[in-house]
Amino acid sequence: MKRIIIADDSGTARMFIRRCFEIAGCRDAEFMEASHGRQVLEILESQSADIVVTDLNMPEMNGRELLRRIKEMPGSRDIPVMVVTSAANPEKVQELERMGAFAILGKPLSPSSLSPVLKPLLASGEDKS
Amino acid sequence: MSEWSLEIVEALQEAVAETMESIAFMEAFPLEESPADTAPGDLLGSWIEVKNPVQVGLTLLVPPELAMDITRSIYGVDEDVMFSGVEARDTLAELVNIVAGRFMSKITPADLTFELGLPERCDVPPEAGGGVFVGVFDVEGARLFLYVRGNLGEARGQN
Repeated sequence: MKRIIIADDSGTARMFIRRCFEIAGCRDAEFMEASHGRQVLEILESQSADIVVTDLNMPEMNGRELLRRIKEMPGSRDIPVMVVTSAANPEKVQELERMGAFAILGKPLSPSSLSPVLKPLLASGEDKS
Repeated sequence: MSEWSLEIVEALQEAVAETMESIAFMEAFPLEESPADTAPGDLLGSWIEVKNPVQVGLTLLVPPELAMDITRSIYGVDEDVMFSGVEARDTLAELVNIVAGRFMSKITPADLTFELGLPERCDVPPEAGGGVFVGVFDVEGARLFLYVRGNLGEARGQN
């Protein structure tokens, strides 16, 4: 069972992202939710995760800073981080990829845009649980 | 309204229509009318600022019933399910965030990065005056209003 952390300051967005993951093949996943990046780091201090999905624009700690912090954490730097944003352009995508983002996806997420990105992660079968 | 170029107006209309279809599975049709024609009364809404490369604010306003319908549609629940105002407002905040992102993506050159602020509650339209575009949309018989205030010249590579 995959453990997936969804970070977005909008509860509606978190629910929508979760539904997309379920439709795209993660129906049995365990979902954990956070409303900003700092909450994600708090979760990762005590639990492991297989995937982190984060919005870019959040209060407290935004998705860019969260990505940077995760990639600096010895126990978490290998977790694939998907960035979901409504404000993507080629320059920003390149920057996030350089920082180690696994994928950058536009908002609103859709199962069809998520599936090809998710497929290799599901195929790996490397659950942390 | 007519001060805005057709390109900008179409980008706004597309941004609203695409957002409503992709997240709420609802159609939004642009209307040739002003907000005054429909006397909106009580509205719920959300405002977001585009911080860079331009200073633009977008305000999305809808009647409370439509906010609830959109929220139900996104959550995929029946018509008799009632959400709290918190959830309806959260939905509107996410909608204006996505509309702003899509709109700016359409009008900003690929080599220009734009930044969005965080959506905030806003239940009234911006003050009338120069530089305000008002888009009125029909969403399942109700009205959705989108106000855009600011100068978009730099976003389009014009100084």
